[in-house]
Amino acid sequence: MRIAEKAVSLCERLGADYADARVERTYSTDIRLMKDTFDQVASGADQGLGIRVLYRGAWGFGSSTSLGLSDVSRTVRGAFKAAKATARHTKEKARLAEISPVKDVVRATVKDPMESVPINRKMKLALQTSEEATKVDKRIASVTVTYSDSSGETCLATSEGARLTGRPSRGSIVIVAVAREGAKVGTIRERNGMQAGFELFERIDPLGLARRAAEKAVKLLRAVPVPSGRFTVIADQKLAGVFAHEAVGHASEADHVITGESVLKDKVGKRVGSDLVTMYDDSTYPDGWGSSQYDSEGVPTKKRLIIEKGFLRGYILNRETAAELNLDPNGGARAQSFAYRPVVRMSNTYLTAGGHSFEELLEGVDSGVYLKGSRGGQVDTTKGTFQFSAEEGVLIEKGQLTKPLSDVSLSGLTLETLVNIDGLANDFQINIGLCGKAGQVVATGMGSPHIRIKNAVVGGK
Amino acid sequence: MSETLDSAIKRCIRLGATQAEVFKTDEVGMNIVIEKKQVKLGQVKRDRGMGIRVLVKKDEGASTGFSYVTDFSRTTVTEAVEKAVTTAKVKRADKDLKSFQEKARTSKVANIFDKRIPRTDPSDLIEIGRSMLEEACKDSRVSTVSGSVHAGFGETSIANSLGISGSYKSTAFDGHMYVVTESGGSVGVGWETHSSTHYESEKLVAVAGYAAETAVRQLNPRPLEPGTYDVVVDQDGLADLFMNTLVQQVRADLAQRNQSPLTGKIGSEIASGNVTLMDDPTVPKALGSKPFDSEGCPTRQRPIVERGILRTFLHNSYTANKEGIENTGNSMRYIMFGTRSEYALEPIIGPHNLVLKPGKGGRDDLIREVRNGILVRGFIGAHTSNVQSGDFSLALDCVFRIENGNLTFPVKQAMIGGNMPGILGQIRLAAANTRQVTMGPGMALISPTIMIEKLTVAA
Repeated sequence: MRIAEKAVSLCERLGADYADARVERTYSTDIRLMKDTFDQVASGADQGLGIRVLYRGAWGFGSSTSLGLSDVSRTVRGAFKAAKATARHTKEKARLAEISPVKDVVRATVKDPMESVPINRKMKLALQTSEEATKVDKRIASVTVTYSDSSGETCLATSEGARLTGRPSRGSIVIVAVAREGAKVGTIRERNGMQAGFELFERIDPLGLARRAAEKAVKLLRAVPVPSGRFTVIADQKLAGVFAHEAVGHASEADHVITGESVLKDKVGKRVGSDLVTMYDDSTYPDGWGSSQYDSEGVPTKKRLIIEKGFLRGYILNRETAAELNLDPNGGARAQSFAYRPVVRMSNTYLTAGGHSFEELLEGVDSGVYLKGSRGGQVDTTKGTFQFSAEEGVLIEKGQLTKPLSDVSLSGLTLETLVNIDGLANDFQINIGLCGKAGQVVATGMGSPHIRIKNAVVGGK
Repeated sequence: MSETLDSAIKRCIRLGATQAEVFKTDEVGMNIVIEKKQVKLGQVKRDRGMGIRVLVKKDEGASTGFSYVTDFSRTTVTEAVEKAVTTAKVKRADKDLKSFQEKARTSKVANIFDKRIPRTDPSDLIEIGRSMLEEACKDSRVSTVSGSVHAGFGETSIANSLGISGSYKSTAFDGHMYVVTESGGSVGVGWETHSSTHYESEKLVAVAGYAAETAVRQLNPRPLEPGTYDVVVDQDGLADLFMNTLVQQVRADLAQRNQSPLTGKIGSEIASGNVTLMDDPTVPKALGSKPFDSEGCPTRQRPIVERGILRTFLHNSYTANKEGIENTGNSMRYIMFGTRSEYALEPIIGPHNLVLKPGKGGRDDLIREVRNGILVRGFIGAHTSNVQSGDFSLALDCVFRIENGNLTFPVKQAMIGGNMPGILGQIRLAAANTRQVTMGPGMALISPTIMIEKLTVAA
C-alpha cells in the first residue's frame, strides 16, 4: 500500500485531477499434463504497479513490473505525461461518476493457502485427473489436464481516499479428452474452478469431470455431419451461457453502447427478447468465478439486471460510462492485472431458469438439433451477429434425440435469437470461462438453463 | 541485491540443477487508444522479467523445471529456483530429454531496430492518431472510429550453463483502425492493421483511410446464396487461420505426439504446386526476424512447404534431439489465447516469419480472375478450429461478392467450412501484394492476398 500511496501522491503533486494506483504481488502455478507427461509446469512470482491518471478530462496509464523507486517514479511521470499530451486535444472530457470512497480489507475464505501447498501435490492432482480420464475407454487417445492457481495480495489507493486491500485466491482445472477410432476423432473439454484455497479441488470433483470428458469424447466417435439450415435448436447450459455472455453480455457493456458498437444501444426499456428472457450480470454470485466485492476502480459491485422478461433494463458500467450516461455506477470495471487499465467487463452473466423440464422442451420439436458445449465463439456486437461452435450435437426427430452430430455451429442475429427463445428449462447451471476484451483476459462465469430457440441457423460442413 | 543472468544460473547449479537457462526480456512500450473519434488515452509500460529453466539429469534421461520472476531480488529468485528444481525432481524422467541448447555460432541480426522509436514521445503518437482520425472521418456516413497506435523497444537476452550468452535489441511500431458507418438504417464495419519494426506513420494514416473506405462499401449488405465459391482471402484473415491450424500442424512437438494430420508426411505433397512457404528470420523490418530463438539456437531461412511438398517440421532443442536431427531454431514463447510476457512462458515451437511466396499482379488483378466468388478480409472464430483433424467452420468478416471479376456488393452473413491442410491443395492464385501481419509475439505472416478455389459457403 505504501508504494500505491506514494504513486498517487506523486500524481497529485504533478497536478493530476484524479489518480489511482494498484500494486499487486501474485504467486501462480500453471501445470499442463499431456496424458502422463508434464508438458508445462510453471511457478510465477509477479509483482507490479499500475497507475491511472486523469488530467483535464484525459487519461494516462502506466505500468511497471519493477518496483524500484526510480522505476516507479519514471512510470508515474510517463503516465502523467501521456495524460497531459492527450488532454490538449480531447473534445469530450472524461468524467467520473461520484462514489463514496471505501476503506476495506477483503479476504477470500481460504482453508489451504495456494502458496503453501507444495508443487508436487499440485502435480499429483493433475496426474490423477489424467489417469481417471484415460482409463475410461481404450479409444481415449490423448488427455490434456491444465491445472492453474493464483493467489497473492492486491491493493488499491485512489486520490479520493479509497484504500482497498485484497487477498484473492483461485484455482481451476481443465480437461481435454480426445477419443480416436480409425479416422474419427472426438474432442471434449470440461472445466471447473472456484475462488478459494487449494481445498476447492475437493469441492469441484476433478475426477468426475475427467470421466465425463472422456465418456463424451468416446460418444462423439459415432457422430455424423449435420446438414446446414434453419432448425429449432435446444442449447444446453454451457452453450446458452456462452450465448448470454458473448452475444448479449458484450453488447450490454456500456463502453460498447456509448461508442455505438452495440445492438443494445438506445434500447433500455424496450423489448429485446421474448417474455421468458431474464438476464443478470452478477458480481455477487456466491463463490462465482467472476465474483468480487469491489471492482478494479474500488466501486462496490452488485447484481445487475440486464434483461427483465424480455425488456432491456440496464448496462454494465464503470465510473466513466456511468457519468456519461448519467447513471449510477454499478461496479463493472475490471482489469486483468496491475499491468492493464480497468475496462467495462462482465462478471457472472446468466439467463435465469424457466419452468420446464428438459423433456418438455423436446416435446413438439418435429425436426431440430440439440447443441451441447462450446468450442468458443465470437460476436460482432455492432451488427449483433454471433457464431459459436458446439462441442456435441444430437439430431432431434419427432421429439426424440436420435443421431449424434459432429462439428456443429450455431450462428445468427442476437436480437432475433433472443426473441425466438420460446422455452427455458428449470435446470440452471453456471460454468467458468475466460473472456478476452481489449487485450485483457479475465475470469467470468456464464450460466443458463437449457433453452429452446426457434428458427436458428445451424452450420456444419 | 539484484540478480543477473549469470548469478541466477550459478544459483540454479548450486541448488541441484544439472543445466540451467535464463531468458530475460526488458521492454518499454507506449501506446494510444482511439475511441469515439478521439484520442482517448496514452499508456506507458515497462515490463521486465526472467524465465528460469533447469534441467536435472536422472538415471535414464532428464527432467526440466520452470519458474519466472519479475522481482529480481535474491530472495525471490532463490525461491523461484527452488520451485523449478523441485518440479524437475518430481517429474518422471524423460528419456528423450538430453540437453538444453549447445553453444553455436550466432547468426547476424536483421535490421529490426529503429533508433527513432526509443526517442518517441506520447505526443508523437497522439499526432499520428489525430492524422488517422482525420483520414478516417472524411465521409459523413462514418459514425464511430476506434483504433490504436503502439511503439515499443526492448532487449531479449539469453544465457545458459552450456556457454550460450547473447542478446539483441528490437523495436515495434503498429496500429489499427476500426470504422463503423451508418446510412439509412444500415451499418457497415471496416478495419485495417499495420505492423512493422520501423516507424512508419504514413502507413498508419493509409490504414485509417482504407478502414473507412471498407466500412462505407460494407453498407447495405445483401444475403449470399449458399453454394460453392472461389474465396479470395486477405493477409489478416489468412494469418488468423494459419496460426490456428497450419502453424500448429507443422510443430514437431505436436507431430511427434501424433497430434498433427501432417505426421509422417515429410516429402509428401500437401499443397498445390504453386504453394511455397518459408520460415525466414532474416527479413529486414519483419516482426519475426531475430538472430537466435528463445533457447539461444541460431535461426536461419528454410522452406516448410516447397512447391506443395512438406519439407520440414519446426523444431526446438528437445524435438530435434529426440529425432537426432538438426535443430531448426524455432523455440518460441507464446500462448494461443490472451497475452502473457515471453519470460513467463516455457518455450514451445512456432515460426518466425512465415513467408508465402507471392504470385503475379496486384490484388485487383487477382480479383479480376475470379468468376464466381467472394472476397474475405477476416474470419471470426478461427481459434475454434480443430488442429488435430484440421477441420474448421468459420464466420466470415467483411465479405464482398465477386462476380465476373468485379466486386459487386457487400455480403450480409456467411460461413465457410473446410480443412487444413486440405485447402492448401485448393490455393490457385496469389497476388504480389506482399504485406506482413502479426501472428503473435515475435511471429509474422508475410503473404500476398490469395484465392482458394471452390469452398463451401453457407449463408
